[in-house]
Amino acid sequence: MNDSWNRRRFLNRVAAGCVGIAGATATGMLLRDEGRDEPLSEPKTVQVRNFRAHMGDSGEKLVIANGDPSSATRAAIGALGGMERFVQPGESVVIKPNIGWDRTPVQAANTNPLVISALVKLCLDAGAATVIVTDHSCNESRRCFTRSGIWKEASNAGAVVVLPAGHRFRTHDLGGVVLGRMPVLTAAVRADRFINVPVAKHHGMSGFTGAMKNLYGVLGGRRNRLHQRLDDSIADLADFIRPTLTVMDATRVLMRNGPQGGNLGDVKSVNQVIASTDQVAVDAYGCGLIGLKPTDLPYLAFAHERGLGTADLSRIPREEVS
Amino acid sequence: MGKGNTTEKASGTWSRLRWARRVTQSVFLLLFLFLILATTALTGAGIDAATSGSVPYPVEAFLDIDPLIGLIVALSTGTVPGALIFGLVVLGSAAFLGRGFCGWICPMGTMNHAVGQIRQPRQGKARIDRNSPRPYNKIKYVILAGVLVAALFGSAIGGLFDPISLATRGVSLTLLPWLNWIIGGAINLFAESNVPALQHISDVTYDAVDGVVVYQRGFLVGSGALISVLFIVVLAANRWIPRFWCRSLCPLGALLGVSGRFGALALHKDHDLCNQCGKCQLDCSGAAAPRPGDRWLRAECDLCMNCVTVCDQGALSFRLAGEKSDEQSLPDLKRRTVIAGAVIGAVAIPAMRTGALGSVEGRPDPARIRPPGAVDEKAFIERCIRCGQCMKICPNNALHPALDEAGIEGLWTPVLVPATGYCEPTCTLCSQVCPTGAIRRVTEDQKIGKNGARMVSIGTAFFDRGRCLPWAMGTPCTVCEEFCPTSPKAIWMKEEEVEVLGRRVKLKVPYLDPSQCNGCGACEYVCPVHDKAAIRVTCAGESRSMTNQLLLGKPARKKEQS
Repeated sequence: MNDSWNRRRFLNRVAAGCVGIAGATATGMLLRDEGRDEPLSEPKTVQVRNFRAHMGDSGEKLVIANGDPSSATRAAIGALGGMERFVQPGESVVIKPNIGWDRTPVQAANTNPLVISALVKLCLDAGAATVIVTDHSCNESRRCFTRSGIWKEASNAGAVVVLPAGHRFRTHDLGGVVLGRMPVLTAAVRADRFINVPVAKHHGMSGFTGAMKNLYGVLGGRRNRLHQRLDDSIADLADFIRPTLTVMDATRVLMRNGPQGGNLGDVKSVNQVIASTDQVAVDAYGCGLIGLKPTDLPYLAFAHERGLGTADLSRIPREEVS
Repeated sequence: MGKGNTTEKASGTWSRLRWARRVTQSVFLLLFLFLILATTALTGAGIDAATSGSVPYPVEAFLDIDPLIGLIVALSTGTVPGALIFGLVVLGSAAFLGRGFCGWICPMGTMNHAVGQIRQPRQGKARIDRNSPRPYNKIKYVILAGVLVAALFGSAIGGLFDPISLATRGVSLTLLPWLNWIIGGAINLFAESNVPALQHISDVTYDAVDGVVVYQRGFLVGSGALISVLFIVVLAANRWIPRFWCRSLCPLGALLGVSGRFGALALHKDHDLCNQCGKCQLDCSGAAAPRPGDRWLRAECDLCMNCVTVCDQGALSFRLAGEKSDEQSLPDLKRRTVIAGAVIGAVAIPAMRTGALGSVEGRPDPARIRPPGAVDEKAFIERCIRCGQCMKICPNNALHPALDEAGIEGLWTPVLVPATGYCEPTCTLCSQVCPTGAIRRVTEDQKIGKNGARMVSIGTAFFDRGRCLPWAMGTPCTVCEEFCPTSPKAIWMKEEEVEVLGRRVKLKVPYLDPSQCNGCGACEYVCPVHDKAAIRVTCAGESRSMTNQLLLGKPARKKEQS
C-alpha cells in the first residue's frame, strides 16, 4: 500500500521537484559570473590619515633634547608644551617605533625602548585611554619585538603591544604618486593620535632613515618593490600619514651598515632626542647626525614641495633643551 | 563468577592497575603534545633580549629517553651525545618490565592504542582473532636488525622508523598545519567581519596562540604532506589491526622486547581456573597470547593489564618470577630472518651512497643547505634521526624535510629553503633542540661572525644578473643589501653605468663579497623577483665542509662603498 502511487502523491512530488529546480536556478542566477572584468577601480577615496597637531600661535618648532633616553624624551615633549597639548583625555594613541630588526638596543637598529616607555607614560599621564605600540617588522616580528626590548618596556609602562599579524592589515588607497592600494596595519591608523618614533640611522639606499621612512612599518604586502622608487614612496607615505608628533631617537646612531647594523663599531652615542610636529624638519635635522645634508635626500625635497613640512632648517625655529 | 572474595579483590587490583596505565598513558601523551607546542622560542612581554634565544622546556625529552636513538647514534658515531644517556633508564626498565614503556609511556603507542581501542569495529571472535599473534609481527625484529646494522655502517636512517621520532614528526606535520589552518582561518574570518566584538575575539585568540599553533610566516613544508600521509596511514592501520605499528613494525618495541628477556614480571596462568572463554584476548594490546594453553609471548606483552582485569575466573595474574614453562621469553626468530634484516641494512647504506648528487659521498646538491651548526655531512648522516624538532622550532619556516636534496639516504633530514624562509641572523634555536648533536650548539656571535668568533656559514649567495632589477633592467633596488645581516655587509652597492634598452643608466648595482656571506638566505627571501629570486643561495662554501669550498683563505675586502 505504501508503495503505490496516487494522484496526491504524484502532485506532491512534482511540486517539490519544481520548487527544487526553481531554488537551484535562483541560486545559480545569484552566483552567476558573467565573465566580465572586475571594475578596474573602486571609487577613488584617498584615505589620508591626518593626525597632525596644530601648534597654533607658538608655531612649528624643532626641539633637540640632550640626555639619556628617558629624560631627553620628557624634556623634548616638555619643550613642545607637554603631552597634554597633543593628547586629550580619553583618546587612543598609537606609538609607532622602529621595531624592524632582530637587534638589541645597543645595536641601535631599533628605537630605544626607554624612549618608547617614556612616551607611553607621558600619554597615559595626559589621560590617554589606550596607548598602542605597533610596527610591521622586517625580521620575524616576535623576535624583533622581544629582542628590541620594546615589548617588555612598553608593556610595563602600560601600553598595548600589537603584533603585525596578517589579519590586522586592510587594503587602503594611499593615493600617492607611486603607492596606490596597499595593505595597511589597521591598529596603526585607527587611533585618535599617531606618534611616530623613529630611530636615526644610515640606510644603504635612501642614505638616511628617520621619521618618514619609518612609516614603512604601517604597510604590509610586498614592500620590497617600493625600493624601485624609494624617494617617491617615502614622500607618498608621509603624505598618507601625517603624524600628530614625531619623536626621533638619536641617543645611539647607526652611522654605517644601516638599516640593520649589528656591529657596535658602527654605532655612535649622540644622546639626543628630536621632537617636532614637522616630520620633514626632523629628518632634515637627523640626516646631519650621520654627516648628510638635507639636499642629499631627494625625498626631503619631494615632501617639502608637497607642503608636508620644511626641509630647510633655517625656516623652523630650533630649541635645544636638556 | 562466584570465585570468592580473593578473586574479586585480586581483579580489583588489576582494574586499578589498568586505570593507572590509562592515566599514565594520557599524562605522557599530553606531556608529549605540550612539549611539541612548547618547541618554540621564548618571546613576549615578560622576556628580555638576553633570555629570548633560549628554549624554555626540555622539548626533546622524549627523544632523549629513547634507547633506540641512543643505540643508533652510539653505533654510528661511537659516542653518546647530550642527554641520550637517559635512554638507559628506559632500557633498564625493560630489563624488569619488558615492553611496559610501549604500553604505559610511548606517545606513539598511546595514539595507536586510542585509535585501535576506542569504538572498536569488531566484537567477539573476530576481535579475538585480530588480537592473536601473527607471523608478520616479527617484521619489527628484521627492521631492528636492519636499523642497527645501518647505524654500524654510519647512518642514523633508522630514525625514520623510530616511534618517538615518527610521533614528533607526524604530530608536528599533521596536527599543527591543521590547527594553523582552522584557527588562523577563523581569526581571519572574524577580523574581516567588521563586527568589533568578533574582531576583538580574533585579536585575543591570535595573541594567545601566535607562534604556538598560528604562524605569521605560514606553515609551508616541502614534502610535509608525505610525512603527514604516512603518519595517518600508521594511525589508520589500527582500525585493521590494533597497534599494528607497535606489534609488527616498531624497532624500539623490538629492542625493548628483546631486552625484557629476564624481566621480573611474568603472566601467571592457572589452567585449572580457566574456562577458555577467550575474554583475555579481546583487548590484548600486544597480541601476546595471554590465554592459558598458549605460550605467553613475553617480548610482545606491553603490560596493558587488560587480560588480568577482564578474566573473571581469576586464572590470570602478573607475578614476580613467572612459570617459565608457560611463556616464550624470546621471540621465535629464525636466525636467517635476523640475518636478512642485517643484510638489508648492510647493503642499503652503500647502495644509497652511490647517488651522485647530494649523497654523502657524491657532490653536494646545491640545495642541500644545512642549518648552522650542522656537522660535516658524513657526521650529520651518522646523527640525524629526522625527528623534525629543528624544523618545528625554526621561527622563520626556513627548515624543511629534504626529499632528494641530500640523496635517498638523507630523506627528511633538514634543509634550509631560502625561498620560504631565511635563517634568522641571531637565532640559534635549532642547534639547541637537536637531541643527537647533528646540529652543534652555535652562538649568536658565530652566526654573524662578530666579537672575533669565526663565522658559521651555511652557503653562499650568487647573483643572477639576468634577473636582477638594477643589473638587467636599470631599476633601482637594494632590498638584498638592506636585509644582509653581516657587518660589514656581504652585499654591497656600487654606482655603475648599466646598459638598458640601448641607453646607459647610472645607478647603484649590488655585488657580493663571498668571504662575508654566511648563506642565511635573507637576500633570496626578500628579493622582489618573487618566483625565482635574482640572488640565490647554494651550499657552496659551507663552513662545516672541508671540500665544498670556494675560496682559499679570506681575500681582503676590495672596497667599502658607503
